[in-house]
Amino acid sequence: MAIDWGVYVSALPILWEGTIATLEISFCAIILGTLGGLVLGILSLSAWGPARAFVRGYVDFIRGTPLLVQIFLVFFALPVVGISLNETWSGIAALSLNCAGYVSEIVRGTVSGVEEGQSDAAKAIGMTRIQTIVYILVPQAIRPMLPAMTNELISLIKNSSLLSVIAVYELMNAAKGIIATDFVPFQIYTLVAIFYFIMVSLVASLSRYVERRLPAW
Amino acid sequence: METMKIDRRQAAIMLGATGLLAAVGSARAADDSLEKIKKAGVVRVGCEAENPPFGFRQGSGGKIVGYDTDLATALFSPIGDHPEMIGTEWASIIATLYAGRFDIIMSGMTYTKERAARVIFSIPYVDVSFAMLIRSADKDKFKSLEDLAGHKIGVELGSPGATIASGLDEKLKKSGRKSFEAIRTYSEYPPAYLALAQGSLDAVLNVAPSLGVVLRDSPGKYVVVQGVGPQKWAGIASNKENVELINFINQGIRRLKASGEIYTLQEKWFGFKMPLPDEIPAL
Repeated sequence: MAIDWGVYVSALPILWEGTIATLEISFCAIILGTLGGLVLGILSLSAWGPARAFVRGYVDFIRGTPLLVQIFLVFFALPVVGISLNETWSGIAALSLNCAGYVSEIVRGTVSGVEEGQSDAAKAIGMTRIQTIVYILVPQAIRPMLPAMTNELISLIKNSSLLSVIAVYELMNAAKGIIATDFVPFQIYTLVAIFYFIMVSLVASLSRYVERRLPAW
Repeated sequence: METMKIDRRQAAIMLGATGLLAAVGSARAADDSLEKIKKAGVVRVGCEAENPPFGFRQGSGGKIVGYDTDLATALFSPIGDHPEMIGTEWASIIATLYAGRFDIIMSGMTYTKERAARVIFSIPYVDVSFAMLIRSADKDKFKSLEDLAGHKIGVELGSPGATIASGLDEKLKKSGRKSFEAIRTYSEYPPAYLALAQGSLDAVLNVAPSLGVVLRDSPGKYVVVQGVGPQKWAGIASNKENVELINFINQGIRRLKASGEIYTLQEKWFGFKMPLPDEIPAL
């Protein structure tokens, strides 16, 4: 199979632009999704029944439907109820909602996994439920949360490739554009795989660094 | 039953609301689709970004260029608007139009009854008769679509190719002859061309101008067989209420035909001129 090296020269700047767009989208979605997930996770530990039921229903929906379907729902259904976001923000919204669902489960699992003695001691000195969760349990849960959160962040970066179906111009879409005019799918997809691998490796190294620097209890 | 007592305040509110509704209703009767586009300064065009020579990405920022971009520029520059080409998924393009993502659809959208029920079309702007792409090695084996009975063909999801293929499939089955071994649908063309090159397909159905680009980019590998379906045309589509906008586009197409500009564009992107009827063909 003849390899056309010239294609690499012309493709690299275009794929680089796509990579920047993917990073921007993933970054926004990660911030919004983590914040949302944190709030939902803490809500799922509340004493109020309806709050827990709401979070349970939300997580069931997010886990029970494919991300691609969620992206289409956000893209087509939101304008009907009057919320008109451009396609990039629709994509970020769909990714954030998805991320929040999974992050809330991570938060719930790690926070309720902190040993019971801690919440007993907090009750003994008169802290309320909310104070216990926010000041005692969540700080201790951050370290166990990191590996699972890293997984979720990595999934989000790779899943951003799905946004190409709603016309968001990110790495996957940039690659498809090149292939449509240059007909070299293997070469381009190999390059795309390398780009995603580098992005994900950076996130994984950052996570390992943060884990090392966090105090162990 | 208790009769409802309406006091003077409620009556005033109800009359006011009815008056407001009547005013809004009569305002909507005037079609302001063209005015809105003039004011916006830009006309958003929904198109396929992986379909050379109609629309494909080139250069930094992934700008979409092609016959559609040039034609849209020629049509709208008299009112000071420039086109913003928005690449989208072909199968859901009409749904995306109604979700308000763009004002018109290009990309050589063939006239079909199902589409005419949901959008209004302009007069024809390009000839999109379907042809089939086969490997050069098979050029004596397959002279027409019927020759592909017992073989695998590839079509794009949402394109008339899918309808042509399944229609012929039915006909072959009914007449007792062998039908197609498989009709595979793809969401865009490049994977279909790759499958053809690798042997997982024996033919791909697409409009002749697009297949012409494939021939140019991979010389010697493929052959195009024309006349695979009836003569087909494509128009520019928009929401059913945008009558003023489509009238403006029709005037524009007639103007470009009279000045010859549209034929120059066709030669530039397709390599040949296409005669275009002045009216939307009967469906």
